[in-house]
Amino acid sequence: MLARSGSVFSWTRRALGAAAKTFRQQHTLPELPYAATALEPVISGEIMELHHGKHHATYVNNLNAAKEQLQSALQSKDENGVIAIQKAIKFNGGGHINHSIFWNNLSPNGGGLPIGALLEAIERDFGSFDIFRAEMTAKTVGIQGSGWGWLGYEKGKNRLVVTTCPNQDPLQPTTGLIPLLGIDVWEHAYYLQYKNVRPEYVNKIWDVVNWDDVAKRLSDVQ
Amino acid sequence: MQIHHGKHHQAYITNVNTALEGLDDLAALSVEDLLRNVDQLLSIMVADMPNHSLFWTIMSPNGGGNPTPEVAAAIESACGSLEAAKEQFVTAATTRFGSGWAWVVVDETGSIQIYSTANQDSPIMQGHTPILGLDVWEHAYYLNYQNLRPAYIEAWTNVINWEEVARRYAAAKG
Repeated sequence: MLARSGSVFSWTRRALGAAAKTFRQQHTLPELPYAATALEPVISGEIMELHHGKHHATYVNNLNAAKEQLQSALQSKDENGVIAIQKAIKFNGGGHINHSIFWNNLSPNGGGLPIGALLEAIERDFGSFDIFRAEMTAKTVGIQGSGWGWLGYEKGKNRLVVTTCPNQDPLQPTTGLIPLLGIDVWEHAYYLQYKNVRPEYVNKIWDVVNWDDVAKRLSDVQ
Repeated sequence: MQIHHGKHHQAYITNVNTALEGLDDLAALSVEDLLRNVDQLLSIMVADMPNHSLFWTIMSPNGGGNPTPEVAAAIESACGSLEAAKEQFVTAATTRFGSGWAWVVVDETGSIQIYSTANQDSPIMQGHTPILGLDVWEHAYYLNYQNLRPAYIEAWTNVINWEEVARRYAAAKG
């Protein structure tokens, strides 16, 4: 009798623990660090609400669902299932990672120039801030289809690099670079306001870049 | 529609013409510049323009309904039923992560296939003949549907010009 109730108790405890662990692993949509309209006139409140509240939220929800499927496939040793879900994890996980960085990369008090160690690194690796900004603008605008432009940090060589990734491919797992500053050029990031004129959007977004956040990301990894 | 046709499609055409102008003096270009220009030119000529040119023709304000009997038979032969084919098409269009197109094509064996491609990649690149295509780049639907791509796909089936699809099918088979 004691043994049976003991085992029911421990089973229940294990089940609750597993459920709690799963719940704790659920990703949640981070809040915007400012009001949706705060980045106007560079990015409209309408875009921010859709971009954050719909697109990013969908990546979070779909990532959670994909991870549950992965968990289930791993537990039942379903190798085909494990492999089949990878695409959704990369896409939605990348989307969640990228956008979580993006909201903090931007600020209503942003713009201007970086200072200190970040500026020194930019000048060292690109020649000047203007040269860096021109390169990142050109490469980001030139992305075919959907993707992101990135300023990344190459740890092994201690240098800054400008590159791009397609779709929602996350920078670090894809290239090994640490993401410092990302510019989203999926059409949903600018279309309602800029229509097909992607260059205007990318040129304007420099006015809201949060250099403090970019600098912190660099100092965190050095 | 005005922006999609008058701006995006126009831009592709302008870019091709510009690239062609730049190739007047081939001898003066470095090998790298030549490759760069030709690559972009090819990419636009092979895909961007034909994709959109096809797109405008397979839509109509009087569209919708069902495929013509010959096309329906071919689709049923490949997919089992029209319902199954529609589901396959909707899935292809919905699960194209990023920019791209969903297609119904006649393949090298003369059979129907349904799939999606990335960006402006065309079935022509694999030797297939597209008879119906749906643009799922965000610019194709965002002003009306925002993030709700599935709603766009569903609504779009009401403007399919099946007469034109049938004409393209016959041309592909003939």
